[in-house]
Amino acid sequence: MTCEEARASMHFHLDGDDHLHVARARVHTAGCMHCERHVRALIEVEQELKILKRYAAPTGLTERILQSVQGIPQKRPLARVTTMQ
Amino acid sequence: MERLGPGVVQRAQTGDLDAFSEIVKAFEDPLYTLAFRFLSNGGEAEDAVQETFLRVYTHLPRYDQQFKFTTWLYRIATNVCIDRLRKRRPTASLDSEGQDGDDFVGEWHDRLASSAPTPEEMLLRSETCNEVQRALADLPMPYQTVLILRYIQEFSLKEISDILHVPITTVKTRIHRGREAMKELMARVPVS
Repeated sequence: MTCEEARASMHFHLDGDDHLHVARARVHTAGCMHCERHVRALIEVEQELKILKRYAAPTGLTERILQSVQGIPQKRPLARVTTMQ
Repeated sequence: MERLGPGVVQRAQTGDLDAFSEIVKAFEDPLYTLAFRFLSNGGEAEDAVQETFLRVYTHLPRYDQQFKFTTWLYRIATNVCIDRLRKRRPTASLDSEGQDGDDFVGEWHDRLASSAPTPEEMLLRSETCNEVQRALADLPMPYQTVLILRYIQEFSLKEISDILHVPITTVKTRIHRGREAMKELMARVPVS
């Protein structure tokens, strides 16, 4: 297995798909310093994204939204197609 | 994922504003986070959330309950954010798979200009300067979209596929390329 193949397969491992090619990629990665470093950097990217802050909506947004829909007409429901038995 | 009481969506579909208010309260925080991560700007994120709920309200009678409500809601919110990004990035497209992200480097500087920031705005600005947010904002839109939905909104690959109306294989490809692009962009950030 080449480094390029191993790196591509390791993405499936990060997605939780552990197929045979992933098992082979893990063996390759364990023995290849460059691929090991590459995968570690990808895991770091995942961690950094996961810890990005979640926000509360600005104060009063609920009220502003409710005000904005006052008097606005809703669309009509789409007509359903029924088949004759 | 946020929960709504039984029958809330059905009541909102008939124009019940109390029920619609429950939907807004349940989802405004995660949708604001989603919009901020797309747009890197508190004011624009707020506008995007407002526009999303306006579209949700008007189209609610057409929501088909055989599909998950959150999928429908996030599809609208994602489209609103993408529309706003497209106005900024006229050449970007959800189909532009092959872009390497370089087109957008540096653009984030332009998104910061405004006057008299509030403390809340200052906090958001410091987040905008966060290297991860910068890298995310500089990604090609298809990669940015899937990474936000996957890692910040914590949707499964299947849910992302439903939200974006693309096959799971496409979602995976975009996540793989997005992770690689983020890794490259983050490696370029000088250590301060």
